[in-house]
Order: sequence, then C-alpha cells, then structure tokens
Amino acid sequence: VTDVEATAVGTAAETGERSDEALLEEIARGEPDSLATLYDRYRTLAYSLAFRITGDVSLAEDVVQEAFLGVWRNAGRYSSVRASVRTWVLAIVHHRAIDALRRKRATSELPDGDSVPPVGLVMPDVWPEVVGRLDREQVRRALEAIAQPQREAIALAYYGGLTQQEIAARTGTPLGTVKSRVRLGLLALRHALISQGGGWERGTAEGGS
Amino acid sequence: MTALRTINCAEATERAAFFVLGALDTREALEVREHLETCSRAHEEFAEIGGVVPHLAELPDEVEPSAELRQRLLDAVDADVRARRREYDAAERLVASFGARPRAPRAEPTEPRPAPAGADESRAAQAEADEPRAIAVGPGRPPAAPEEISETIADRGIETGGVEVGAAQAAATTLASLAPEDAAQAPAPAGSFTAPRAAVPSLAPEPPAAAAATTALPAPTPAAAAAATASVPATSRADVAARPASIEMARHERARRPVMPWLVAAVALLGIVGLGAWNVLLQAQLAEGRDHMQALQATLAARNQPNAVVAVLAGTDAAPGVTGTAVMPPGRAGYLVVQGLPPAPAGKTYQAWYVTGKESRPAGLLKVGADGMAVLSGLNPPGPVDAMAVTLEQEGGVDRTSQQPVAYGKVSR
Repeated sequence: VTDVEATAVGTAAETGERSDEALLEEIARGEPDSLATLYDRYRTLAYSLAFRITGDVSLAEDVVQEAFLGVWRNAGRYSSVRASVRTWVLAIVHHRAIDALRRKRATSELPDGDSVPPVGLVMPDVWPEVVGRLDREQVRRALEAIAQPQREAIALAYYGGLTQQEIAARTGTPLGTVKSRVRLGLLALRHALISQGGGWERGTAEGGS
Repeated sequence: MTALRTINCAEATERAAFFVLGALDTREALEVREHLETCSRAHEEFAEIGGVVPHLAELPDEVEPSAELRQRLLDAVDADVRARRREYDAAERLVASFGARPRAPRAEPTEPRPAPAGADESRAAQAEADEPRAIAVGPGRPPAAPEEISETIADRGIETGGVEVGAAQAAATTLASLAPEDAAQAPAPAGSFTAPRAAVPSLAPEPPAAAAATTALPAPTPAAAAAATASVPATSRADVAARPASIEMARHERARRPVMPWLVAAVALLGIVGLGAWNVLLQAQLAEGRDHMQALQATLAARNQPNAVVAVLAGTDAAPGVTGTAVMPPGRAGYLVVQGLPPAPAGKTYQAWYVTGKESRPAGLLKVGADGMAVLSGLNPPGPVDAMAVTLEQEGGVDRTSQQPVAYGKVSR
C-alpha cells in the first residue's frame, strides 16, 4: 500500500469507514444517506472547483447540487475501471460548471444566444489517473514547471471553458499554436507530475482501482 | 448547432487535448466522442494527456459551500425519488388496468385477434401462465424510412386521424432529454444503429417535456407511446428531471447513440396507423395498439427509475434486423421490447432469456405482432443478469435452451 492509497483511506475513515465504491453501490440502490455521506466527503473539493470556474457563489452551489443529483441518478453506471469515484465526481462537477459558465457568458456577453454553441457534452470520458494522489502543492509546482504560455492556455481551457478558437482570439495567437501549446503543456505537466510522484503510474501499477 | 461530421483519426487526435480538458465546442466534442466510440484503434493519446486532468480539478483554493446546500441537495433527491415512484406506479396501474379487460389478448385467449400469422392463442395463454406477459404490438407495416417520417410529421400537422403527433413529438423530446448524466458512460453497444441524424425531430425547449410522456397517463396517445418504444433502444437513462443541460445532453445523446431512426420510425408507424386508411381491422387494432402503448409507456417509466438495468439487444446473423431493449429497475417489474422479429415458423415461438455467466434462465415468451414487434412485461430476473437473449424455440417454450440466440445484448451498467 502506497502513501497515496493511505491518504485516500484516511479520507474515507474520517466520514465513516466505507469506501467510495461501497457508497456508490448504496447510492445506486437508492440510499439517500449514502449520497449525503459522499457529499460530505467531496463537497469542499467539488465546491472549490465549481467556484473557481464560475466565480459566483450561488451559481457554484447550483452546479454542485446538480452534479450530486447527477451522481444520485447515475451511480449505477460508475465504473471503477475508468476512474476513481473522486475523479468521477469532480469530472461531473467540472462539466456542469463549464456548462453553467458558458450559459452565463452566452446571455451576459452575447445577447444573441444562438451564436454561441450551447455548452456541454464536452465531458470527456473518464480515464484512470496517470499518477497517484498528489497534494495540491506538488501539482502546483508541476504546473509552475511548464512554460507560461502553455500554462495559460490550459487554464483558459480547463477553468475558463474557452474553446480553442476562443483562446486564439483572446490571446491573439494562431489557432494551430493554441492547439499545440495545450497539447504540449499537458504532456509536460504529465511528465512533471510523474516525476513528483516518483515515477509511479497509478494506471499501470494498480489497474486503476 | 450545425450537423455533425464524421472525423478521422488524425482529426480526433488533433482535438484530444481540448477534448480531455472539456473545452471543445459542443459539436467538435460530439464528433470526437463519436469517433472514439466507432474507431477500432486504441487512441492512447487521449488517456496519455487526459490522465493529468483529474489533478487540475483539485488545484483551486479551498472554499466551503454554505451549510444550507447539503439540505437543498437532499431535498432535491427526495423530490426525485417521489416523482419517479409516482410515475412508475401510475404506469404500472395502467398496465394492470388494461390487462384486466376481457378483450386483452392474454385475458381472453379464445377471442379472435386481428394479428395475422403467428398469433397463436395458446402461446398467449402460455405467456400469461408464465407470468411475464407477452403482448404483440401494433398493427401495421414496416416502419417508414426516417425521411418519410419527418415528412409525415411535418405534413400532417398536429392531429392525424386520432394520433396526436404533437404528443409524439413532446414525448420524443422527453425521451431525447433522458440523456445520460455527464460522466463515465458505458460506450455505445457495438450493435447500435447507424444513424441519419438529420431526420431526428427537433427538440422543444426544455422542462415541460419532462412531464409529457410520463405523466400524461390517463389518456396516452399511441404516438406518445410509440415514441416511448422508440426511446428504448437508447442507452440513455434515467434523467427526466428538468435541468438546464438536458437539451444539450439530448443533442449529445442523439448524436452519439444513433437510436432515433427507430424512434422516428415508430412515431411514423403510429402516424400511419392513425391516418385511418388501412383496413377493416383498424378499430380493433387501434384499441389493441392503445394497450400496447400503455405497456410501452410503462417501459419508459421503468427506464426512468434510477439505476435501472438496461440491455440493448441486437440481432445476430440469424436475424440481423432485430433490435430490442430490456429495462429492469431495481425491485420492480421490468420490460423487454423487441422489434424486427420475423414471424415465428409454425410450431415455434420466440423465448427471452436472462443470461448470467454461461447460464440462461427463461424470461418469458415473446408474442410477435404483425409488424415484428413484441413487448414482454413483468421481467423479474432471479439474480444478477449479464445479458438478455432471445431464441427461437419449440412452441410453449423450453426450460433450457440449446439454440443460438436471434438477438442478444449485454447489460450495461
């Protein structure tokens, strides 16, 4: 058992010993209490992400509520092969938040709502994490290690919900450059994270549990 | 949103970075998703660069939501539970009520039925005895091509010979809005259908649609329920509640899981029936159709139950045109809807099976309507089920099968 796993177990122990996967099974059987437990476990992470993206307290709360309702309705479809529960939940939150952000942008900045593709659906399929759980500081350091233009482009895409065309327009950069910046930035981030995590790859070491 | 384009591996790869960041525009993301689901190559680059994204989710400074949010969420969950329960119970009552009527096929096996070839009453009786109830569906003729249907709907306006196309469209909208929640979806089943997207009816704006097909139970229209049938092959699930993303989700769903030809075809089929020009059996068939529609509506309701187990069936080489869906909500009776079955030869019957590992257990007999459609209600799997299958067996069914299935579909969870 690695440190990384120990951390995850510690989180579970704080709120009642049951693993995330066990909670999801109970949620899938229709146990609202288990959803409450899962919410207690991830509300801070979920809300922090939603708030970072939307920048709006009440919108962020709506996003979190909708995301957990989504968990409630779809718990039976969670697959531990693809991602941890934590990643799954946060991916739903991210999707919802970008969705809300794009909606808001469409109405507040662009009166003609039709000109903006209505959000969403961009939720990528979930994948096993490349590296194990790192603390926030480690990830920040890894992000700091990559080139600034790449970092900026990644942030605009992931936290800003901007499309590649929008990033190109906003930063005055050719589209091709934006695409390669983000791609190279992600690859660089991956390498930096793997070296932070001692080169241990969760996906291969563990089969993605 | 402009129409989706089929993209190749190189184009998909080029979009991988923005795809994993969730930052493509909707159309581009759908195209990538569709490519990934249909492409036989592994596309490792998606996993390679996507693996870092979960870390980005945890970077933001920690802030706490208000204490009230927890209760708001639990209230919403509670409302969700109650709404679905009501919906399901109402549908069940409907099915039960038409099941009790004397003219219903299973209750009155000796009454002549309008359905032609293969409408063997002993099979109906057998099906009744088996508990899961077999109901042949619908009069008519083969489903029209999607283009034809679009025209049907557009040309006929709101009401055509007693079939409310408007209701059908509302139902279609609802169905389309039963899109999956955002994440971690099972990939589309291999046997899913190819897909002229353009023929899909356009979606009405938002929430009222959620209620249309599922709460208008007292007077279900054939068309609405036909749409319900049509929804069934979709692997979409359970999210009826009105919510902001549902239309986009619906678009998404329809694009990546091309189920709609069936939907459109079913709507059209009923529309055609409603035109009133068929034959002397029309009245009887309409009445029968209404019964079937209620069963189909119940199927829809079952599908809306949280975490319903769903299997999408596709025909094997023996019957390549067959499609079907089984829906089994936890703790409730489920339904199997199969379409495109050729008439069973004399002395034979179709039988449905629960498949668990290498074991197959009988699920009931399928009574095929003139149009090749059959509904089996009362599914109650004896335990975990890996897949559903349909075989052709000797009349009366068998306890164990040695036949190759004519249709088969794994349960998706």
